[in-house]
Amino acid sequence: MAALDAFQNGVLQCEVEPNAFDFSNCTRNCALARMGTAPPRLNSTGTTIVAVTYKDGVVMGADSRATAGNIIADKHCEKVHYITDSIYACGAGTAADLDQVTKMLSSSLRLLELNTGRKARVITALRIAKQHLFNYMGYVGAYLLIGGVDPTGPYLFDVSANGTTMARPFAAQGSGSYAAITVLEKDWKIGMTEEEASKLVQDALHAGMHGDNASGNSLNLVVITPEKTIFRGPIVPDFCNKPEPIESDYKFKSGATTVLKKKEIKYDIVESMDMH
Amino acid sequence: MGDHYGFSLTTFSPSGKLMQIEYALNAVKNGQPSVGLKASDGVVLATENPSSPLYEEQAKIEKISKHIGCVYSGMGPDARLLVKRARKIAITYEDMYGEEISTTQLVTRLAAVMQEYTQSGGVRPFGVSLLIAGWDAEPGKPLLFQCDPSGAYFAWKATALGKNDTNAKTFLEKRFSETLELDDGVHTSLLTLRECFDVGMTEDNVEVAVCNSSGFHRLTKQQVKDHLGAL
Repeated sequence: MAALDAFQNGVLQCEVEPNAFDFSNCTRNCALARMGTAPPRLNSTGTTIVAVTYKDGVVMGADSRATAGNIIADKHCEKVHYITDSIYACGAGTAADLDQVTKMLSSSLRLLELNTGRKARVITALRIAKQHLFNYMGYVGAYLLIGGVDPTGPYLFDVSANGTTMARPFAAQGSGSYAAITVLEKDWKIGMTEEEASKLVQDALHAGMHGDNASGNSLNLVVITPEKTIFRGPIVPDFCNKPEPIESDYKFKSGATTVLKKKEIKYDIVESMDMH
Repeated sequence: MGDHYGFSLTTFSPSGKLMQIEYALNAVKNGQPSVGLKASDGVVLATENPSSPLYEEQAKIEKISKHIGCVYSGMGPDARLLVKRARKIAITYEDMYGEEISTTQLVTRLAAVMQEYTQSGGVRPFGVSLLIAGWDAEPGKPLLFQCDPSGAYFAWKATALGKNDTNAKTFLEKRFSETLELDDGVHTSLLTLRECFDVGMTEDNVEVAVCNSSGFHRLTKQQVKDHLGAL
């Protein structure tokens, strides 16, 4: 009701109730559902990607499972993409789109570095990514965490396929992000050391890889600081190792099952075929 | 470009020469001297980059891709455009084929661009000759090429462009050897460049770059100073 009043009075809804949540879309959705309109289907993207900023730089990580429906299409998929020496992007979404978008980003930024004579900035990667993705209205299914260090400092950004971007101190994306973000929300704090940040990223990835069936197998990490970038991987967590052999023998000794009744049926051969 | 001129400004003379290209080559001949030398394990590029207490430093030798760089003699702004074009060619090749462009491929494509400007409407040829130095990872060898305003390209073991280039080339013919290593190559290049210098050579008015297996790098002022000291 408030929404309708606001519209008729030519006033923005957010100005009518400035500090409250606006649930008018929920009312609309309920009305649509009642009319029989099916809600839009969400495509689950099987990945856990995590990134965290700490005192000097950024730590980013991803699992390595690529799924096609219920099947693991690739056990060692490279989801931590090189953009420049000091900028990396973790990608969730459509594998082909991610590969192409990150390659395009890398080429554009490296060309810019040569032409400007300066190290590329993370914010530039962000602008190029979002302007490209917005153009395709979300059809290029790339959900990226772009992180790195440039002459102005360490940065971490979250880019969605439709072009939304956000600057974050820590982030997780992909189907495993629900599990991973809980670890980050609980344990992230300002001014962590590299070891703490690395451990936090790995713990968050473990949560995603353990809880989400579309994430797993192994993980890759990259630690970016002003002086150097170190790529670590693949790291295989304990719970991702091939299951250990079953200790018990499931063979049954003959005579273990008691025979209660026997019935014999005899068949006459009417026609036989020669099988080669 | 060339909105009102759909015809080429580069036309044949009765003797069969394209005078615009000849004049472009004159622009190169009057440009600042540059030297290129292929050593056994890398390539050296050197050039005069005049400085004055009023100037802010501006590099002349440019990097095109990780393992390819170039220097020019002639009109700086023309070279700037070619370098930008070369960088785009290199990165587009990498995008398409998934590997770094080889020096020969870059040179042929860039030379084709230069030739285009001798046969298109409303444009003039580039007033530069480029010396392109590169290192091909497979099979691991250094390469040195010259690209002319006409679009012609030549592979060199050692050469010089710009003012006093004939003196420099004579000097190189005597002093060049195929067994030279990179350090000696820098030494010989600087000696050659000195032949073309009208003023005294210091680390402030000479620029040197090397291209080897670890990539294309410009030498720092200090490194140039050390080499000059050893001359």
